[in-house]
Amino acid sequence: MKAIWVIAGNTFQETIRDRVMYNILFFAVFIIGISLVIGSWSLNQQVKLVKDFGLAAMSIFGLLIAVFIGIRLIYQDIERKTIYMLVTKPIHRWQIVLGKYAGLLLTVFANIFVMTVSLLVVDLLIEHHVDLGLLPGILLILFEIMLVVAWALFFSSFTSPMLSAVLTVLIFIAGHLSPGLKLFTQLHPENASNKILLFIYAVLPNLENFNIKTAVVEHLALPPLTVPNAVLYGIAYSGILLIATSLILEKRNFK
Amino acid sequence: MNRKLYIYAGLLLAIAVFGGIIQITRQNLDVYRTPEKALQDLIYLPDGHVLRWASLGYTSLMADYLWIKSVLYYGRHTVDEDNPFYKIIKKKFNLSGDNGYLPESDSGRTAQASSKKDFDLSRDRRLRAIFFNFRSRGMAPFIYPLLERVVILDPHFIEPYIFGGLYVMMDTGRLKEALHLLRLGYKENPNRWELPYYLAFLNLFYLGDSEAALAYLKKAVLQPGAPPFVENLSVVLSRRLNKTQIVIDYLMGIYNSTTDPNVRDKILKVLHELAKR
Repeated sequence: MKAIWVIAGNTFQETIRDRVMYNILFFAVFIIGISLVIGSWSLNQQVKLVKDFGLAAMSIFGLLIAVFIGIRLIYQDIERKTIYMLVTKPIHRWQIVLGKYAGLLLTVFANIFVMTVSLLVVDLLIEHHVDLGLLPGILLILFEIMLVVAWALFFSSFTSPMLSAVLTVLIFIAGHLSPGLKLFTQLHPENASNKILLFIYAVLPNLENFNIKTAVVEHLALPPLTVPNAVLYGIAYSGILLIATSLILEKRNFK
Repeated sequence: MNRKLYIYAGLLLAIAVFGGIIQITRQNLDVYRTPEKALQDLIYLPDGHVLRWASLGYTSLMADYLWIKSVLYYGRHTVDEDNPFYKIIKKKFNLSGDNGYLPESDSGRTAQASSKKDFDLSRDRRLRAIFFNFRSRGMAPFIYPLLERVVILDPHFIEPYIFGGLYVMMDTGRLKEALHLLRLGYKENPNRWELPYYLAFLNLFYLGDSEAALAYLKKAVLQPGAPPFVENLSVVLSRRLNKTQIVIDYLMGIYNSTTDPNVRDKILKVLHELAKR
């Protein structure tokens, strides 16, 4: 366990210094701030607009940070041969994977924290009180990013950064469109390929499970246990991906 | 040392030349950037359900973007002295003031339904002049398709329903679309008192159907947060009192229920007109 935290701390220190991340973070905070101006064009819907923009910015830029940094995490160590320093030590490869993952998650968490504070400050300026009802939405954004990071790490364990980025983005798109597969099977129960579609639906991550942005902004009632179920889903799915990544790295020859 | 100076001088010259080219081309291109051009922005948008899938989970953000687009689009096309495009619109459409009254064929109801008119404002000359004077009739033809996309993307976004169902309707006379939008809103948000309230308003004021209006008002009364004036109005309507008083009570209700300054301003103008005549 200590090895995991040491690697995580190291990864966090490494990634927190990445200039790409600061550019993205600055842009995200800027977008949250600019929503104050855009909101004034919305005919008294400024509060809703600011919250929608803020949550969307958090999600999009959090994902960008996760993808840009996550795809290089393991690949970079392999290219620079710095991975040898880790594999020659008495630590397992799954500990390396978990450590890298935890380190990147800490980085993402730090970024989301900064964006959350920005959003709540802007919200305080407009509404004169802080809407803590946004926090469940932000929590699920974090878990969505966690899942995407796990995919990015998985791809980066066996392919180049460019291809990892493309595949991760495709997974993101497919994840948001996957509920359409289930809907199709429900609307066309007689369709011969329904079993295949349902299998694909089960395998693909359903990222809509984490999408409660509209509900938290408009204070809509959610079905009970939505948030806990989504959190457990995210943890379990990420766990499977991390196990797969560990297995790939275990078999991989770094020469 | 001399070489460095030449290099810096060359770079400065290049910047000056590029700056000059930018200035000239910008002026040439700005010639085409006229207010008339801004009015011609065509809107090619897929259906709301397609947009919903295309938004990849960011439905609220896309709805907000389309909402701002709708507001800006309507603001540019409405007949209003505050509209900086007003002179262009006036010239383009050869406007001279009163655009006339809502013809029966635009009511969106069947002939059989329209015979139910028992609260016909259009028979009262002064009320007709106020409520059926659609200054922006024929303008902003894409406003309702835009608003429909907004509400398909975010069905719980209430303001577009009210904007389209009330404000745009009172300006353009597009009753059929207004009713459709409000009914859509009521179906998605059955717990909001505002939507049946405004449906009752349209049924009463523009369709003259007090029975339908009363039915909607009764539904509005039952919703959480319905203000007391909704119940008062349903009582008044059921007693079928003086038309003008009902009109004033209704308008005061709308005025008190909304925080939208544009709607409040419009209602105040109508109330002042009523007081004058």
